[in-house]
Amino acid sequence: MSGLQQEFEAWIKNESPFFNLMGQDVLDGLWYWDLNQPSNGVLNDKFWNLLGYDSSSLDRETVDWLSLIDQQNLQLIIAAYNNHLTNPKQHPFNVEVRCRHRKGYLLAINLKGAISYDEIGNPHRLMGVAIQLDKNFDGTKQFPFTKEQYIDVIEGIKLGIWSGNINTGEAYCNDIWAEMIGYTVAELQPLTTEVFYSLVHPEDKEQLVLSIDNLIKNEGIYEVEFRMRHKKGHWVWIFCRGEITAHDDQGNPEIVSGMHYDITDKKVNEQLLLKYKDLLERSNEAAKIGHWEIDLQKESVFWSKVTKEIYDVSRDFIPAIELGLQFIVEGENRDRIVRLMEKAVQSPMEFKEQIQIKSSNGVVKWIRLIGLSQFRNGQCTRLYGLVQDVDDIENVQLQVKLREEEFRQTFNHSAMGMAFISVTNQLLQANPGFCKMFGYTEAELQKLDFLEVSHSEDFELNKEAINDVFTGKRPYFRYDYRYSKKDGSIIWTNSLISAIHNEEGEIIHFVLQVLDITKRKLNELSLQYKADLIRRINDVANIGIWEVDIAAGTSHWSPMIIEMAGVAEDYTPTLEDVYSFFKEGEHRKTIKRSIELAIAEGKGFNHVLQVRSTTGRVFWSRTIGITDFVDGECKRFYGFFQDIDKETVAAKELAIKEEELRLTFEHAHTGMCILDLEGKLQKSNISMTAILGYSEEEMRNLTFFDITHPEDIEKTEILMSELLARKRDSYKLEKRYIHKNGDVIWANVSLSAVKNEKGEFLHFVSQVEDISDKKQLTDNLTEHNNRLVNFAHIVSHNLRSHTSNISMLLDLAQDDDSEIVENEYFKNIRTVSDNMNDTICHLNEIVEINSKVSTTLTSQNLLENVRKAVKSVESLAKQSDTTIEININKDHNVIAVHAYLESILLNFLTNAIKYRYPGRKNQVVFTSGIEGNYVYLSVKDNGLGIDLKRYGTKLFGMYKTFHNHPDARGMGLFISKNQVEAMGGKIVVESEVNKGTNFKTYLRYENN
Amino acid sequence: MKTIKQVCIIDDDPIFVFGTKRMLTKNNFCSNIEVYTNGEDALESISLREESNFPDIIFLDLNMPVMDGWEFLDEFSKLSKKSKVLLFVLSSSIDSQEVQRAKTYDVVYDFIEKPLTKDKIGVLINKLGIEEL
Repeated sequence: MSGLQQEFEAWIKNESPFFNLMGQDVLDGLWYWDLNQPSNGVLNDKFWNLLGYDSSSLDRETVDWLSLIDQQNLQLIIAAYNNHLTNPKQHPFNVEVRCRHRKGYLLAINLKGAISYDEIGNPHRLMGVAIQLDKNFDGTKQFPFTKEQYIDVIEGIKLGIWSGNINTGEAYCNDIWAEMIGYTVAELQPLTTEVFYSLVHPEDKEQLVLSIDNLIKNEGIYEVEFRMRHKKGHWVWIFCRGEITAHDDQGNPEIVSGMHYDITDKKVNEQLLLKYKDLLERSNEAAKIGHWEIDLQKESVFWSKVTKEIYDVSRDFIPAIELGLQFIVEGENRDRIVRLMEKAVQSPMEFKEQIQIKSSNGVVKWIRLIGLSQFRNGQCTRLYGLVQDVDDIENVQLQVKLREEEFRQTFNHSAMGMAFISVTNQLLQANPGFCKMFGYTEAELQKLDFLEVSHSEDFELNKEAINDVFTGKRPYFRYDYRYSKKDGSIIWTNSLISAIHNEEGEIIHFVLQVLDITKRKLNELSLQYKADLIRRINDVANIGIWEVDIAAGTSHWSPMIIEMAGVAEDYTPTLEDVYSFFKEGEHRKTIKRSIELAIAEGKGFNHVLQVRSTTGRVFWSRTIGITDFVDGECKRFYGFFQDIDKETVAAKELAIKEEELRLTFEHAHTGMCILDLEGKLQKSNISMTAILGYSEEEMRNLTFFDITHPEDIEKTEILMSELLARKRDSYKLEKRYIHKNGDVIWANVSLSAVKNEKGEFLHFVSQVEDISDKKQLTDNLTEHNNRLVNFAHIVSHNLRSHTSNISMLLDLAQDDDSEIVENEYFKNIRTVSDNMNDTICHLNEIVEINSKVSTTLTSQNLLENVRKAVKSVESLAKQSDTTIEININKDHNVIAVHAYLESILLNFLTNAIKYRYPGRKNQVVFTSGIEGNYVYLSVKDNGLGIDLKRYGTKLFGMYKTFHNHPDARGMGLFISKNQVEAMGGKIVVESEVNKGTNFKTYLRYENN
Repeated sequence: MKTIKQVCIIDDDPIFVFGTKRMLTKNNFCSNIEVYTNGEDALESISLREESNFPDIIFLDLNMPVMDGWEFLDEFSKLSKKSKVLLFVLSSSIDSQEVQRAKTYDVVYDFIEKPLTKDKIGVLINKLGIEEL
């Protein structure tokens, strides 16, 4: 043993408490170096063993251990030492080196150490511990195998080995790798990553690719489980582990290597387990049953998905014993469970409790907690059980309790009658409502036999069903039922009897709930009654039905009759009342007699009679009575009532009209004839024969066309064909006939087709009015008028060319010989010429008025126009000392030709000024107003006035003057009147000599 | 100022023509006056001429035999060389509708009510800026 060795052992001994604490297990070796002679070092046995040398053998003496360190790594050691020397505290000696195992491979070893100093303070020794890094790397202690041994091992545990080039995609695998999936290595050649991926289960591929990508990015080791397709087609589960084992020149990962391990068996079991677990979960989930487990040895708690749901915690919630208990509502609930659990841990037991928990959401709910304890070797190892949400169930039960209280309250205060009936059909208890309904006290009711107060009909009808309730065949029964009250009156009820059971399901008593529906029932009854009646007849539209209640002597009317009679809905008249609706006299007598006979002898009837409704409407009706007469007794008496006023009146009117028509036809002043469809005159009246000069008999041999003027035949034919083509119903025409004596007769003819009910043509009726006289007159008038117009035109146009020539010639003559002006003849001719020109001008104006109007009528504001006119005569008014007052409504607009209105206003104004009363202050007042469709404008003055008796008819004539005024020309009023009339208005005058005149002009009001 | 060389009167009324001719010459309105008694004769004569020989002014009557004034206006409107000519409708009609109608023709310069008087000629001379002869 060298000195250093002794020194080393002494150090270990000294430091033994430390090393013991560390445990030799943790450390892979200790070392001790002489710094003066670095090759001189001491290692402990463990370190030597690690490096593959026998601790006892001598060979270690001969081995320079420094030579075992990778020579490149020696530099690291020296650098670390130097670094450590400068500041031992800040830079501890801590270095990773590779040491060569005796068998040739390298081990990664971490050396940690410290310097010790000699007496004079020089660095003397470096010592420390060694930890094998590879061991920590994969967690399993690597054994130093020879290559062969390694291969043996690999083959022994069936490890598939592979490696692949990331860049090129080339891959290598061993036999085992290939066998695992049923191939030989040769079969897989050339093996590439692509071939490999093609064998991977599609569902697992993504995960695999991701792990390898991750490996390339982050290096380290990856582990992944996936499926590969066996040559035979089934899937093989592979556990794969791999890492980057080589890098390219740039230092990027290049080669990935690893191993495959067949884990199919394990995986299949795992899968099955998962499947069963899942199945259990699912079934529990369906039942809302959660599973819980407390492993007392591991002190871990497991809650299934449903359990977590019940507690409203998230899926990833990690439960603990204390935590679980905290969910239970504090107090009695929690204490009970704690006690039970303590008990269960002591001895095997089962418990089943209903408790309230407060879930993590703060919801308080009822759960059922089932627990079991499992023992092994007298020790409780596990508590497990189920938990179920029973909140809904529990709540229902609680509510039942609440209901009972509510029910008690209801019972006492309900307006509905309620009573408890014993199983022996005795009334046990009745509420005030019930008592009130029957009119008995509770005590009286308790002694009462209900059969006595039951309506026998209803009892028979319902007894079976009620009995079923009593015998328990049905839980309840609802029925309409009549009882007699204490006062003897009938009460209609809607009753509900239900059985009350105890917890064992036995009937303890019955509850009878009674609702008074008397009123409703009565309504229902009458409805039923009416519906029944209606059913008896076959849908007769618009016909009312009535039925007499013979015993009561009243009649029931259907809504139709009620409406017709104009009475209230619930009107039930007595027979006397019924009679009163019929018209007094024969009508009323008839109905009365018929009804009495019907009841007495069963005779039906059918009458058309007049009736009067309460609204005063008198109408014709048809009343039909039907009886069911059995054994000489009228059992039933009913019938119909129909408003046939329209038909009756129409029929009666028709009869009258026919008579009227006949009379009219015969004696009318108008000629009338009936033509068949060919135009043959079938019948002619007296006037017709008079018009045409033929006798009735002669007429019958003629057709319509024989008597028509040849020139009018065509248009008559056209109209008739239109009539027959139904384009029109009738026509009116002015046409000519030929009188028997050959004279032309002008007539207004209206012809209409007469059709039967089916719309077929029967004949024509022609009315002929002789208008020969009138026609003559009109013709004359029109001609006259035309002549006048022509005359006016001739005057204004043709005559004018002559007068203009005369005046031109006069001008020329005057030019040629200026002295001619002095000639008396010439002077007079000149005057005549001028007058003639004026006259023609006036005439033209009149002619033009009517033609101009229609195109230029506009809405004119009266006030505006009056103001304008007044303004234009301002100076004239001033000179003549005339005051003008305007009282015209500003909203009065008239339809007028603006120029005419202007001229009319001016004309009246100047007239009023012109013909003022000398020496009197002249006043003119304008007022307006509305009369019918007109706005009138009144211009009133206090001037000379006009003697209307004398001049009235001539007032508006042409060239009429009534005063000796120098400017009076007799044109103004004439033109004004023409203008006003052309605009659809009129002028009215009121006047009194020496007092004044009022011209009222009526013009069409804009609003009309 | 422009001078009026040629005036054309289209009228069937000899008295009017006589008077007008006198009136025009007396008032130094123009030197040459041609007269046609209906529209057709006038149109026939005018339409054959060179533009330079067109009358400067036409006085047109409306009521004439053969071709009346309206027809003449229709035809004359179709002639391309009409623009320089000043056409006056001279009529004894004072029917406002006729006046309006006459004014709808582009070729009509104005409507003059008969008779043509000394005053009217004076107005015309001023209006047209005609140099008196």
